[in-house]
Amino acid sequence: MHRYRPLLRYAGRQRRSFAAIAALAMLAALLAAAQPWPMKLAVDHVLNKLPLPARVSALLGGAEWLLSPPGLLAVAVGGGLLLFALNAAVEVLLVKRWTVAGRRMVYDLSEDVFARLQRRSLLVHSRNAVGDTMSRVTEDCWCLYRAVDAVFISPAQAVLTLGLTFFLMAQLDVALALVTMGVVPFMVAASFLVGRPLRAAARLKREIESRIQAHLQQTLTGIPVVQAFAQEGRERERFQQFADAAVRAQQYSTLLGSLNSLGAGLVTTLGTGLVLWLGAQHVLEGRLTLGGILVFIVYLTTLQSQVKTLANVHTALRNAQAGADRALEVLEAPPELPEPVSESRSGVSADRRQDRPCAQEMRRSAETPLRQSSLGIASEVRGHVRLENVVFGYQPDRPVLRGVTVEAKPGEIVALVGASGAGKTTLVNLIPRFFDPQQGRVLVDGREVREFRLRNLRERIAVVLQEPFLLPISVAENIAFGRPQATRVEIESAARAANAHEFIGRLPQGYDTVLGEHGATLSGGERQRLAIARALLKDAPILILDEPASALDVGTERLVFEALERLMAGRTVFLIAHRLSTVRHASRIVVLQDGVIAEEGTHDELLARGRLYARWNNLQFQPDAPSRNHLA
Amino acid sequence: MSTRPTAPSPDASPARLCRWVLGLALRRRLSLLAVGATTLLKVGVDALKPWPMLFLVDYVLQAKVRPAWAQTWAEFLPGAESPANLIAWCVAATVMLFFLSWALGLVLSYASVSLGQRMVYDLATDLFAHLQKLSLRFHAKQSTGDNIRRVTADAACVSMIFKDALLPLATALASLLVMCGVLWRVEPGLTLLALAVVPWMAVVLRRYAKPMLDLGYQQQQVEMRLYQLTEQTFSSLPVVQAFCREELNDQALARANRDTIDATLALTRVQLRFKILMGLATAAGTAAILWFGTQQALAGHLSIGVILLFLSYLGAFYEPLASVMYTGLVVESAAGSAKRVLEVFHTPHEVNDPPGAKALGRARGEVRFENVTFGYEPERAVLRGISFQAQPGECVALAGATGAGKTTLASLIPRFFDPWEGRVELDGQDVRNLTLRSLRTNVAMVLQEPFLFPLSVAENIAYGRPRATQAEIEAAARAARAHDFIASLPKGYRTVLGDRGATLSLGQRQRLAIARALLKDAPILILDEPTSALDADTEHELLAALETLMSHRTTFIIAHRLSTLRRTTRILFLKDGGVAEAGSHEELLARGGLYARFWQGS
Repeated sequence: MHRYRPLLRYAGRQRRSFAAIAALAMLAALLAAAQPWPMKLAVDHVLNKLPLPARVSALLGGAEWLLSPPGLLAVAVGGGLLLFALNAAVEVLLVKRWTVAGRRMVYDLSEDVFARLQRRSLLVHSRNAVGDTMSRVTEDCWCLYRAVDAVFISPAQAVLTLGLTFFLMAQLDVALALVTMGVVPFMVAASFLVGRPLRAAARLKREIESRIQAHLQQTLTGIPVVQAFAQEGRERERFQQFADAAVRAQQYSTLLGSLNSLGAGLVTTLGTGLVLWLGAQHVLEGRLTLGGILVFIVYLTTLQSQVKTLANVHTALRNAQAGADRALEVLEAPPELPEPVSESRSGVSADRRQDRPCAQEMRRSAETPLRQSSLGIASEVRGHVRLENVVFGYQPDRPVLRGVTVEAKPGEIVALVGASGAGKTTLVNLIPRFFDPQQGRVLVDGREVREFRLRNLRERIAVVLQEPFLLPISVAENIAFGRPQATRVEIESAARAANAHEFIGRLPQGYDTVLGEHGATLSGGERQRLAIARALLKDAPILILDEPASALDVGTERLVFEALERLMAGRTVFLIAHRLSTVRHASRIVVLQDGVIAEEGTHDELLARGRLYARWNNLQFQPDAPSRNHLA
Repeated sequence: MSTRPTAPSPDASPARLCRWVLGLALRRRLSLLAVGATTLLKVGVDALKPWPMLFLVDYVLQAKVRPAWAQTWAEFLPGAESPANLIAWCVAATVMLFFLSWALGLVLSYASVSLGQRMVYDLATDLFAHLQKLSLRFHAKQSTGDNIRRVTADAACVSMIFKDALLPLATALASLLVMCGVLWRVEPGLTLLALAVVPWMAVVLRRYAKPMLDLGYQQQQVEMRLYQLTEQTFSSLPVVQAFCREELNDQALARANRDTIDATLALTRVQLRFKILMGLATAAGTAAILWFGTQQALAGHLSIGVILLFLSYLGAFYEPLASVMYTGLVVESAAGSAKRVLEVFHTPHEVNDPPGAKALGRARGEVRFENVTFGYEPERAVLRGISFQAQPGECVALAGATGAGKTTLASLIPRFFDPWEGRVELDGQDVRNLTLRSLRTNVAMVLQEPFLFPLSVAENIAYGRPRATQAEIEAAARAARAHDFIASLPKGYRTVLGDRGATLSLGQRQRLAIARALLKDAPILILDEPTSALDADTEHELLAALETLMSHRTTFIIAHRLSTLRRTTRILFLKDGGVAEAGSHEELLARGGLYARFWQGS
């Protein structure tokens, strides 16, 4: 429990709501216990004309009419309606309170988890699937909701209801009350079997479904091969087989579930039967009234649901614990990318505040004199990047970069080439500090990147990646992604420079058109031009281009290359490219192989040297690359 | 067994959709019969449930004078003289009826789930078969994920309409009818009173069902924004961090959370109101029956058991009424999926066997394009008036810039598409007059993207000829320079490939694709950049091996490398959708035209 104290704080913030909810829950228990009594009154004292117990007649004492059969009937009917009204009122209050307080508590936690997660190093994220990370925000935070419900609210209500109903039953017939309380646990135990298909059956079903999914994926993506080899008939048969298996698996799992349920049903009905049988005999013997047995029958159902709640506490807690651990893991992880001590604060909420604009302004003014005084570089001279002997591996024992030193002076274009897996992307990712090298250091404008506030560092760097990562927001918002306050004029001029204005104008709502997921409604070249416009608008002195032209559609390559040229002008550029034709005009070409620099120099120098680069150049030569004249 | 003839148009009315679904259910007559019979049985048993209790209360505990039917029972049951035995009988009957109803419920759910699933997969199979035959033009436009969803998720709409709308409707009508009939025979006056709550419930349902559905949908949409926001953030995290968007995202999440709470509260409010109003019907009905029933009982017209019977039926009214009201909504919400399914069925097969299509034997391999014009989008032709002829055994290279139409041109030969204008001929016959199957049997292709299937290596190679022997498979693999690496795989030729052949390198996958095409042994061979991922040595070796195989086949090869182009007998240089120049490599270089300039430009 101690470990979870940080999480309980989130519940603590809603304590006033929870106090109200607890009070309402008690009230609900009282009302539930009172439910069958008007019926009893009608049956026993109106119809069967049994004398009223002294307490009740005292309660109704004053009015003579109330004690007559029509009067008592009116009391019974009115009481029933009154109970309904009270019940409704309590339920409304309870549900509303719990909806707001429960969700608020979950969302407070999820906001903090989200804030932490999106600031974590890409290294951490590279180890986790997106779905897993998402579920920490969207699923795991619900552990609080379940825990509070399972530990505080439901059990309190259940215990109260159990005590109350037992007390009331005992008033009617002690022996039958004891039998009832003895029968209920068996009924509950049996009910846990209801609808629980064996896990194996469920797994089998899921497996077959995912095989169907995979088969569809295969055939529909490979449809040219299927058609070219005229195999449609065979694929259909194979699908039919999967479909038959899926239906059989579903039947099997339903059947198993049904058999389990059958046992549970038997126990439940037998339990009810036992109470009914004993009760009826007691009625015959005169130990219980007819109305009394009706009360017992109603309570039997109430008791079942309450005992079930109590029995569920343990499971609910265990489920909540798994989520709590995962949420805590995020909240308590030490930051992988520590920022300068003088500027950082501790604690989760402080972490979220770190980049407020005003704080940032203060930091900026504090930072400039430092840079000038200690290094003697004027702040206008920007875009100098140096990676010094950096070593890095996603797993510590398997380095991807093994001591690489690269320098780019302001305005230089440094091209990185090499086979996939050589470490090109990893190398450039060190510059905006997506993660830190295990050895060596990275300097921007003469200062180590670890000395910058992350935000200040990343403001100097623009990226255009292979995958443009557009969001399903409007075109204008996508372009202004790094500068949300940019004016429409600025956005449009960035789009013009990126050769994107024209196609944007053709979209249904122009700049206000909302894009599909991942820009699905645009072609590859259009998406990449938006990414370029986005980088242009950011107007940073350092530019990282990671294979910006590898996923382009025909006919727009030229437009993209023109746009890239404008983007690169006057900036320090790190360019990763597959096609060697795009890199030949770089100031320097760095050839990476197995995590080290194999050779380095201009295009002509490297060709003259006749080693790796020269060989690739001969091999890879493609006469069709329209790019060769466009990328300066 | 095809659904196509009866499939309504995508914009069919809900009633038409229901008829379509019933038609699909009728394809599984036996299952449908089982579902119907169980439903009726269960309705009957449920109606009997309160009767032992009535018997117990009135004729055992209250010892009223038994009417004829009760007397018959009491005489029929052994040991019925003693009240204790009668109690036991009543309890036994209650237990039996409850258990029977429970068991019938399970049988019913088993039968209806089975039938529903069967219907879904019948439909999915038809859908899949139809999708497979649609032209590549359709598949190029349509995302694969979208089509998968249509087959896997949207096909479930038939089960939804059948199991969650039509079946509950039938059950509800039957049980309402039975309950009302029974009550009417027992006591018509009180029946009318009990039925008075029905219009009230109907009005409440009518008034609230739609708003609840709408608000529920809105709440889901708003909640979905939470998921989208986190998904977007974490799947584009490099950009988020590079553009310093973290703080804005925090704000967006907080806003989405607030909106979700508001939307949930709005939904909860309506749900509560609905629940209370429905509860009011039951509460008021109970009160009324208790009031009038008891007065009648006091006057001696009615027994306590009958009052209990009425009360228990009143409690059972709600469910069937609700399902009647919900039927329309369920069909409406399934209509979206149904539309996506029907859209596929209503997409015509563009490439089809015409009536009287001829089956072609083994072709000689003469390919002729006559003035062929084709494009993927109307008014944007990719190929414009292409004409050429390839002799049997010739090796023709297609060269030109990316987007010049090389792959498109090659795709017209196996009739992945039909040209807008002009004709493609094989051995002097328009390919449109041949059966698709026989045409494609004559063409082997190696595509840019090798597309391997999650089958064994041997099965992949034998994809076009499932009956090939192991020796033939190995020979093809050797010719494709794939035998060595296959032999080094854990289970050799029986190694099952991972998703899309991901465990192999691109070069290895390309070689398997070549082996697959070679084993097919067709007179026409189309190679679309088959060696782009191979290193120079392997490529050289492979091309040398291919050369012998190409010698007696008509080969079309799309290639970028000089070394490859040099080996061909003729090069068609495409530009802007037309054949700009044609001739051998040397001829074209000597001519000093576009092709030559292309090379000199380097």
